[in-house]
Amino acid sequence: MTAPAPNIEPEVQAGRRAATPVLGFESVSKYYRGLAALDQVSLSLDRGRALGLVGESGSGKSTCVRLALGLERPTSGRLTFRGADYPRSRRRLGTLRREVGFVLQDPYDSLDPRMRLREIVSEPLRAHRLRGRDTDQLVAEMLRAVGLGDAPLDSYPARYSGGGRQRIAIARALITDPAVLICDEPTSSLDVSVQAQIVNLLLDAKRTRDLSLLFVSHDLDLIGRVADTLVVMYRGRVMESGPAELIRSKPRHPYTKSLHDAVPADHPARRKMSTPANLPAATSHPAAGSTARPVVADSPVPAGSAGLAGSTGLAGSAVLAGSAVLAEPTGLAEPTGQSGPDCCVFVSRCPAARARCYAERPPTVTEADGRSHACFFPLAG
Amino acid sequence: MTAAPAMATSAPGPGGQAALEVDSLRVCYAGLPAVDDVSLRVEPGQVAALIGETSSGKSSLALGVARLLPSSAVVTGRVEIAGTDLAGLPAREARRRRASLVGYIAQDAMAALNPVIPVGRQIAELFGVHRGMHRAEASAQAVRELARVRIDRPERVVRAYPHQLSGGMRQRVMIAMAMALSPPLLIADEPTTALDVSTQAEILGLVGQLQAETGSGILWITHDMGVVAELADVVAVMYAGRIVEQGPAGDLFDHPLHPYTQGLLRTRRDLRTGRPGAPLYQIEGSPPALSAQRRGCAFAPRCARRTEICREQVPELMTQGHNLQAGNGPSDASPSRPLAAAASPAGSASAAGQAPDARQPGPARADLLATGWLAACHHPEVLS
Repeated sequence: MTAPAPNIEPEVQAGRRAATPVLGFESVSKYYRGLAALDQVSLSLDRGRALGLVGESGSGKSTCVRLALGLERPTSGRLTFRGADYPRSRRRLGTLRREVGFVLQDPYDSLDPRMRLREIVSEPLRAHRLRGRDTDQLVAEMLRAVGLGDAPLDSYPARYSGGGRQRIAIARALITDPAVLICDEPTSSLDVSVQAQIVNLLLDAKRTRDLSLLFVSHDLDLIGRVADTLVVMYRGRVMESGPAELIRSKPRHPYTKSLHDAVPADHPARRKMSTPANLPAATSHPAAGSTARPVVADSPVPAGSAGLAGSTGLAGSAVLAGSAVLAEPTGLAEPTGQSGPDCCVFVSRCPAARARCYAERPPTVTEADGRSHACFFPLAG
Repeated sequence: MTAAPAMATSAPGPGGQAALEVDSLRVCYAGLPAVDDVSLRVEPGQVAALIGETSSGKSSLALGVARLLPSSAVVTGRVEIAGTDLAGLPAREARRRRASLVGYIAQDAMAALNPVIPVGRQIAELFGVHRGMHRAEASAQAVRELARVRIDRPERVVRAYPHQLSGGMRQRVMIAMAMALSPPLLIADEPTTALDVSTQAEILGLVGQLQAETGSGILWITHDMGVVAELADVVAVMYAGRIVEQGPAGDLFDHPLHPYTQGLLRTRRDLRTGRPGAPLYQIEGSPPALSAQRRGCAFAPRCARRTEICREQVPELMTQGHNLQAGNGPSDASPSRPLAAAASPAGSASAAGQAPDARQPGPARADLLATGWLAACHHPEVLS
C-alpha cells in the first residue's frame, strides 16, 4: 500500500529523509457536474509539520478539506493516510476520522448551543466508541490544555466569546489524539486581538503533540506565519508550492505575486491602492488588465466569467446548492472558450500572459530550492 | 452628480462645516452603554477610520449617526451631518432626507440589496423618489452610476439580480447606491470584510478614486489595520464603547500611545515579519461583553501597564502631545474638548489647530498636538 516514492510536490524537506507523508494527495481531481473544483492537485503533509493552503474563494481549498476529512471521494487520483489509500468502507473511514481532527471557521456555528461543554468536548469519544478513561477527567484535561481550565463542564457555549468557543472546538478536535488537525480558516471570524491566541494554541499543539496541521486560509500574512510549507491554489489548481519563507519573500508565480500585491499596506506612508496604476492585475476590469475579458458574458452568471467572485464560501457547496450559484468560479467553466482545460487557469488575470499560456497547460516544475510552480514564464525568484 | 457647494475637496479651517460632527454620543441597549460618550469629527474629503472589534460599539455608532437604530436603543448626544441634525428631525422628514445626507455601505451587500429586484431598478428608485426623475431618466442615470463605480458594461448589469453578481460587483452596486445622491457623508461598515484580498484591493482603490472626485467625508468602520493604512487620514480606535485613541493615521502608526493600539499594530507587524512557525505576539484576554461590569479603564484587565488607578477611574480622552517627549507621566496632561480628530485630508501633520484648549506643548511635537492627537490612558507611553 505504500506509495512508490511518488513525484509529489512540494518536496520541502530538503536535507531530511523524505518520510511517508501523514496525509497525501496524488494528482487528485474532483468534479462537480463536469466542472473541476480540483484539478490534479498533489500535496503532502509531513508528520509534525504545517501545510498551508492559500487562495481565494473558488480556489478549491475547501474541497481539499472535505476530501481530507473523507466527507467526499475524489473523482480521480489518490488520497493517502500514512501511505495507505483512504478507505472506502464507512466503518474504516470512521476509524480514519479519529486520526483527522478539524477546527472550522465559525465557532458560533460549529458548537451545538444546547449541549454542555462536557458533551461537546467528549462527543468524538462517543462517536468513535472510545471508552475506558474517566470522560470527565479527560474533558477537563483537554480544556486545561486549551486554556479553559476554569470552565465548568456543565456550562453552555453561549457563555463564551468567539475565542473561547474556538478553544472549545480545539479541545474537541484534540480529544481523540489525532495525527492530523485540519484548520479551515480557524481565526477569520474572531476578533483581531484574539486571533493570535488561537493560532498560538494550534502551533503549541503541533509542537507538543507532534501534530500535523493542514491550515487553510485566504490570509497570506497569517498562513505564511503558521505554515512551514505553502500551497497557493487558484481555480482548483496548484499554482505554486514550497517552503513558506521562499513563497512569501520571492514568489515565482504571477498569481502569488498578485496575492502579495493585494495585501493592504502596513503603514499609511506605503499605500498600494490609492492610485489606479497601483491596482493589482487581479482586477476584473479591462481598464487595468490588458488581457481581461468582458465581465458580463452572455450567460446569466456574470461572476463566473469574471473569473473572480468576491464572496467567500465553499466552492463545492455553492455548486451543490443550485445551478445559479455556479457563478462562483469553481473550475473551468469558460463561456468564451478562450481558456479551456488546456491552458493556464490564471491566464485571464495574468499581467505577463503570452500566447503559449492560452494554448497549453503549464506543467509543474520543481526547482532545486524545493519549490515548484506551474508557470511558463515564472518571475525571477 | 455634482457635490454640494459646501463639500469642496479641500478641508476647510476649523470654522468650516464638518461632514460629520458627533458630540457626546451615547447609545444604550437595555441600560447598557454600547457607545459611551463618543465625540468625533469628519471633515469633507477626509477618510476617518473607526477601528474596533466585537462589542466595541463601532456599528452602533454608525447606525446611530444614520439614525438607523431600532427604537429600543436609547440615543443621547448630538449628531450633525453637514450641519443638519438628522436625529432632531421628525421621522418622516428624516426618512426623506437621509439618503441625501448619508450613504451607507453595509458589510453584507447580499443582505442589503433586494434580492428580487434588478440592481438597476434599485438604483433608479433613488432618483425617482429623491430627485423626482421619470422612469426612463432614472434608468439612464442608474447606468451612469454603475459606470461611475467602474462596472464594465453597466447597461447589462442594471438588469442583473444581486445573486447573479460576484461579491465584489455587489459591493460596487452598494457603493453606487450610497453615492448616488452625492451625500456629504458616507458610512462604510466593514464593506470589504467578506471579500477576497484581491477584490478588497479593487474596492479600496475604487473608494479612494471616487472620494477624490466627490469630496465626501467618509467614516470607514473596520477591524483591519491594513485597511486603515490604505485609506484613512485620521483614525479613531474604539474599545468597549469608547474612543481610546485618535489622531492622524501616519502618526498613529508611528507612535501609538494607547496599549490597545500598540497591541493591534504589533500583532500585525508580527504577522508580517515573524519567522514561520514561531509563536505570534498575542494580546491576552478578550474584549469585554456589553453586559460586563464597568469600572475604571475597560482595557485594564488585558493591559500590562495597569495600576490601581486604571481599575478605579475611567481615563479621559485628552491631548497627549507632551508624552511624545521623554517624560510620559500623566501629571500635566490637559483635558481638551475631544472633538478634534482632524487633520487635513492628506493626513499632513500641519493642519489647522484643532485642540484649542491645549496648554503649551513641548516645542518638539507641537505640530502633532495641533492635529488633535488624543488618547485615553492613565499611562500613555511611546514605544520604540
